[in-house]
Amino acid sequence: MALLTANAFLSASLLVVCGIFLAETTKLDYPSNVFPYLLVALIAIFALTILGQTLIARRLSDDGGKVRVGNPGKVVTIVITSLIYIAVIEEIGYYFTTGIYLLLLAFVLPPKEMPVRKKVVNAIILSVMVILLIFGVFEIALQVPTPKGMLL
Amino acid sequence: METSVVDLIVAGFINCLAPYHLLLMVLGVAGGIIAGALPGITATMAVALLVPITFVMEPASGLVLLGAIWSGAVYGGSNAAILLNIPGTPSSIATTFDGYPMTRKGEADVALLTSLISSAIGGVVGIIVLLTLFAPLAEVSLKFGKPEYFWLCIFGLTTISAMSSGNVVKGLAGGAIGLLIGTIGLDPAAGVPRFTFGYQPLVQGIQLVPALIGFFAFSQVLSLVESNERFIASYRQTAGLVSKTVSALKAKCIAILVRSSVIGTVIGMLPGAGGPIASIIAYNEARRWDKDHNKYGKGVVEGVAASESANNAVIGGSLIPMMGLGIPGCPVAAVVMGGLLAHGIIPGSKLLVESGDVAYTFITSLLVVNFVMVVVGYFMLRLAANILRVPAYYVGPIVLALSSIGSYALSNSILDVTVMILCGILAYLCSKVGIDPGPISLGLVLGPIAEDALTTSLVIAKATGSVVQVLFLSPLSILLILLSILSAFSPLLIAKIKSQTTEGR
Repeated sequence: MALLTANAFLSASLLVVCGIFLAETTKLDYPSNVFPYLLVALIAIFALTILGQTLIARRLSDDGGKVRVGNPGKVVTIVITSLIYIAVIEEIGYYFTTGIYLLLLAFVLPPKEMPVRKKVVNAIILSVMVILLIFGVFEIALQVPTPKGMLL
Repeated sequence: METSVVDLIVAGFINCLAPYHLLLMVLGVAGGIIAGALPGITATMAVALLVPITFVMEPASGLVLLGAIWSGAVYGGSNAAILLNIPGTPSSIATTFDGYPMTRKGEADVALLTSLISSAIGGVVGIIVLLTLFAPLAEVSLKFGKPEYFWLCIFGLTTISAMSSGNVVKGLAGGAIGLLIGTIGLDPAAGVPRFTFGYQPLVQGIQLVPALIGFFAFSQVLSLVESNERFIASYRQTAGLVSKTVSALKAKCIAILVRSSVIGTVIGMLPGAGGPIASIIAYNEARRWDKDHNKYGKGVVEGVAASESANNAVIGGSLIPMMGLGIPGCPVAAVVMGGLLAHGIIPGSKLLVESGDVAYTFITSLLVVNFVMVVVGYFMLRLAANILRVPAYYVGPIVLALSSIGSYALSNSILDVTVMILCGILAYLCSKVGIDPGPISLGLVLGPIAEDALTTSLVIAKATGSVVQVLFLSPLSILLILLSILSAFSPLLIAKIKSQTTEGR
C-alpha cells in the first residue's frame, strides 16, 4: 500500500476516533469533560494536518514510499492466535492454553527450511521450559493465582 | 547525650558493611535485576512482594534488602529495554531510544555496561543529596502544587517534538492518542466512569504496565517476525569492554551524567512524578544540549547514560520527602514507607531523633548498594546479552508468554492481557504509518498526571476566580512554561540556525 493512502486512512481513522470520543464527552459534566475536549480537538487538528500534508504531497506527485509488511502470513497468525488465546484462557486454564500457544508459535515461526521433526521437537522443548519457568517464578515464588479453567 | 548526624552516618556505614548486610545486598540486587528485566514486574511489585519477608528480620536488615531490590529492579529494567526494545519497567522507556539501536549495531554489552555504570552514578548522586540535604529539600518539594505539576507534564510532553525525527505531526498525534487512552476509566477529578462504552471492567482504566508491554513487547515481536532475521542482532563480546565503556563515558557523558542525576533527584522529590518522567526529561535535555542532537535515537551511549542515571537518581530523590515529611515521592517509596511503618519507624520530622540509627543504616546502604550493583550487574551482564544468541523465532514466543503472565500478574485480570495484546496491535499498525510507540507511551504515562493536575487547578481557579492567576502566574509555573516553549521549539530553532549557518558559508 502507498504511504499516502495509508496516511489518508490514518487521518480518517483519527477523525472517526475523535467522533466517537466527542459523542461520549458530550455526556460528561465539567470538569470531567475538559481534558477529553482538549484532546479530541488536538487529535482532530493533527488528523486534518496529516490529511492536508497527504493532499499536498499528491498534488506534488510525491508518492511518499510504500508501507511494507514482511511475512504477512506469520504476522496475521500471531495476531489471530493471540486473540484466540485471550478468548479461551479463562475457560481452559492459563498453563494449558499458554503451553499450546507457545507450541503453535514455536512451530509456525521458524523458517520453512527447518525440518518438521526438528520444528516439533524444538517447539515441545521450548514450551515445556517456558511453562516450567513461569510456573516456578510466578506460581511458586510470587504466588500469582493464574486462571485455572477446566484444565490447568 | 545527643548523637550528631555525622556519628549516625558513620554508624550507618559500619552497620551496612556487615557481611550479613552485604550478602543481603548481593541477593537483593540480583533478584531485583531479574525482576526488573521481566516485562510486567515493576520495581514497586518486586519490593512489595518482598516486604512481608522483611518482617522476620531486624528493621535495618529488612530495609537494606528492600533498598537493594529497588536499586536492582530499576537498573534491571534497562536490560530488556536494551536487548529486546522492551522496557522492563516504565522507567526504562527512554532507554529503548538509544539502547536498542546500540544492540542492533552489535554494541549490546557496551550499552548494558553504560546503563549499569550510569545507574550506579545516578543512584550515588541521589543518595548523597538525600544524605546531606533531605530536611531542607523536603520543604522545597512541597512548593510544587497542581498547576506546577501540569506544566511539568507539558514539559515532559514537549519531548515528543524532539523524539519525532520523521513527521513531527505524526509524533504529536501519537502523543495525543496516548493521552486519550489514558482518559479511559474513572476520571481523576469527579470519579465518573468515562469511555467505557458500556463495558464495566474498563472502569479500572487502561493500566500503564500492560499497555507498555503491548506497545513495546507485542509490537516488537510482530516486527521481529516481519524482518525475517535469524537473530535480533549480531553479538560478539567487546574486547576491553570496561576500559572502552569507561573511556566513552569519561569523554562524552560527564556533563550528561551530572545533569541527568540532578534532574532525576529533583523529579524524584516531587510526589507522584517518578522514574518515567525523570528519564524522559533527562533524555530530552541531553539531546537538546548536545551540539549534534541528530545522533540521538541511532544508538549512542549518551542517550542510555542520560535515561539510566536519571531513573536511578529518582530513588534518592523520592526518599527526600518520605524521610523528611512522611510523604512518599513515588509508588516504591510508598511501599518502602509501609515497610518502615511495619517495623515501627515513623518517617517525618522526628525520624532522626527516634530512629536515626536504622534510618541512616538504610540510607548509607542505598549508597553502598550502588557499588555492589556494579559488581553483581557486571557478572549478570554477559549472561543477559546471551539472549541475543537465541534465534529470533524462539525469542518471539518466549517474550509473548512472559508478556502475557507479566500483564496478568499485575492485578490478576485477563482484561490487562487483552489490553496488552490490543495495544501491541495498535502500536504495530501505528508504526506502519510512521507513529512510533515512544510518543504514545509518553502520552499514556503523563496523561493521567496531567489531567489530574489540570482539573484540580481548574477547580481551585473556579474557587479563587482566576484561571490565569492559578495556572499561569506562580514563579515555578512561569519557569516551566518557558522551559516547555524552549523545549518544544528548540529543534526547529536549531535546524533554522544550522541552515542559516550553512547558507552563510
